[in-house]
Amino acid sequence: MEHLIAEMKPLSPVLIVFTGALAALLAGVFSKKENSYALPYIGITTVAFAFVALLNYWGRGMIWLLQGAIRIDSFGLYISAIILIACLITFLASIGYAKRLGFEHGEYISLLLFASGGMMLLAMSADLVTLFLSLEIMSISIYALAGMARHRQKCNEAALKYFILGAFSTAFLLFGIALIYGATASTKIHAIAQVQGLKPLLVAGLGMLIVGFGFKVGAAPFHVWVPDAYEGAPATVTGFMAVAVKAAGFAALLRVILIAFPGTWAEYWWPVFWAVALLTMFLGNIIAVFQKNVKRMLAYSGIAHTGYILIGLVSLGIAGSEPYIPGMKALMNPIAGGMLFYLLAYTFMTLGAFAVISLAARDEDDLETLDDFSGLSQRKPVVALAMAVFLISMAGVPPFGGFIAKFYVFKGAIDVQGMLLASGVKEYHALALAILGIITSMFSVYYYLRVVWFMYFREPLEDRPSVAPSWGLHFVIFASSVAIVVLGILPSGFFSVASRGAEALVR
Amino acid sequence: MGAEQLFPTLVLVGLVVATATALIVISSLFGPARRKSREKFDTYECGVQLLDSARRRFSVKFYLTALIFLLFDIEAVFLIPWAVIYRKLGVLGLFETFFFIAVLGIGLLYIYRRGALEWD
Repeated sequence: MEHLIAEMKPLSPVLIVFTGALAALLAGVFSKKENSYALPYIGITTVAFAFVALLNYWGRGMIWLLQGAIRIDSFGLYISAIILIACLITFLASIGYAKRLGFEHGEYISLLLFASGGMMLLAMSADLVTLFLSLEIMSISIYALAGMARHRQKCNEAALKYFILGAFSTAFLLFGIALIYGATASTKIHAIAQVQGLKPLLVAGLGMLIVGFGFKVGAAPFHVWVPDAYEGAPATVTGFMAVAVKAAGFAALLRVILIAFPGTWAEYWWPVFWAVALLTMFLGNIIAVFQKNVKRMLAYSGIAHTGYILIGLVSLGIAGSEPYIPGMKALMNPIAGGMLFYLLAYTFMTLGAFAVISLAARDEDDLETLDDFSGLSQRKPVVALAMAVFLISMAGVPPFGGFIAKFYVFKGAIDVQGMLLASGVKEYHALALAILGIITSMFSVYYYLRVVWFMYFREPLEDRPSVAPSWGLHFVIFASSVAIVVLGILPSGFFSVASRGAEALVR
Repeated sequence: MGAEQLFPTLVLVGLVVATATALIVISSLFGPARRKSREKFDTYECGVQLLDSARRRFSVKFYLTALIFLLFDIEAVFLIPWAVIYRKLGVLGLFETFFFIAVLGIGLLYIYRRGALEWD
C-alpha cells in the first residue's frame, strides 16, 4: 500500500486534474442551474493545484513509474506546463462565453480537464500502449468539446468531421504500434531503440506512426480536418484544440521519434519530415491568404506553424544522421529547445487571438468575418491593440515572441547546414528548408496584417452590437499580450527552461 | 525476416484466392439458371413480408441506453479476470479494483442525476 502511494506521488499533477474533472462532473449535476457560473472556478482551482504539484518535480531528473509505462522527466513536465497554461486560459476565457452559447455545464469543465489530463499523460508516457490510451482520453474529450454548442449547426458538423477523421487516423497510429511490436517484441519506447539492424516491419510501423501523429498536429497532407473543425467549434474550444492538442501531439511525436528512432535511424525519417514540413508551410500559408473568415484563416495559419516547428525536427534528423561530425551533437539540444520555445510562444499568441474571437459579434456567432473586425479599434481600442499584437507576433515581426520562436527554429536549420558545409558535406536540404520557410513566412505577413488593417483603417459597421467581455476574457487578453511581449524582449530565461525541457530527449 | 519465412503465408493467400474463384466459377457454370425477380431482392427471400423500411429515425434514447450498457459491460470485463486471481493480487489489487469501481460509480451517479436512466 505504501509502495503504491509512493509510486503514485510523482503522478499527482495528472491525478489532481482527473480528480478535478470528476468533481466538476458531479458539481454540474448536483448544483442548481443559477449557480452554474461557479463551475469554471472548479477548473481554475484544479489547474492551479496541478501546476504547483508539477513545479515540485521540475529539475528532479527522470522518474520511472508503473513498470516503465510512465517517465516523468523535464520534457514531459515542460509540455504539461504548457497544457495546464492553455487549460487555465481556456477556463478564464470561457467565463461568460459558455453561458452565452448555452454550454455552461459541468461537462464542459470536466471534458476540458479530462482532455488536459490525457495530454499530460501523453507527454509523459514511455510505453506505446500508455501513449495510445492517453491519446484516446485526449481525443475523445476533444471530439465532444468540438460539438459543445449543440444548437449551432456548424458546431455539430465540426465535431462529426473531427471525430470520423480522427478515428481514422487513430487506426493508423494503432496499426503502426502493432507493427512495431511485431518487429521488436516490445512496446517500450526505449526498448525499440535497442533493436539492431533495419527491419521492414519497423520501418512500416514508423511510417504509420508518422501518419497518425501528423494528423494530430495538423501537418499536411493530413491537415484537411483542421479548417472545418476549427471554424465550427466554439472559439474557446478552438483555441484549446489549436494549442494543447498540438503541444501534446508534438510531445508524443518527438518522444517516439527521437527516443525510439535515434541516431542514424534519422536517415529514414528526416526526408519524410522535410517534405511534410515544406508542404505544410506552403499549403497553410498560401490557402490562408484566400480566407475571408478569420477563424478559418487562423486554422490555416496553425497548419503553417506546425510546418515551422517541423523544421526543427528535420534539423534534428539531419544532425543526428551525421554523428561523426564534431560539434554536431552540441547543436541538437538548442534546436529541440527552440521547438519547445516555439510551442510556448504559439500558446499565448493563439489562445489570445481566439479569446478575442470569442467576443460575440452577434448573439450566438463568434467574431469571425473580416467585416466583424472592421473598425474594432474604435469600438474596443484595447482589444484591437491586443489582437494586433497577437497577429503581428504570429507573422514573426520583432519585438514579439513569435519572432524569437521563428528565429530559433530557422537558426537551428542554418547552424546544421553550416556544420555540414564546414566538414565538407555538400548537401543543402537544411538550408533550402530554412530559406523556403522564410519565404512562406513572408506570405503570412499579408493575411495577418489584413486583419490589422481592417481593425484600424475601416469604419465600424452599424449592425454589429458589441458584448461586454467578462473579467476573465479581459485578463486573458491582457496576460497573453504581456506574455508575448516578454517572450519577445527577454527570451533567454524562457529559452533556457525550454532547453532544459529538451534535455530529456537530446542532450 | 527472410523470404522463405513468408512462403507459407504466400501459399495460404494463393489457396484462399484460388478457392474463392473456383467456387464462383463452378456455381455459375453448373448451378441452376437464375432469373431476376422481385423476391430475389427482398431482405428475407423466403421469410416474412417486411412491414416497413428500416431506414428511419430512431429515438436517440436507444443510443444512450446502448452506450451506458457498453460502459458497464466493460466494467464486467475487467472485474471477472480480477475475481479469478484476486488472492494473488492481494490488498493492492483490491484497492485498485475499488478505485476503478468508485470512478465508474461516479459515472453512474452522473448519468442518474442527468436523467439518462429515465425513458421519458
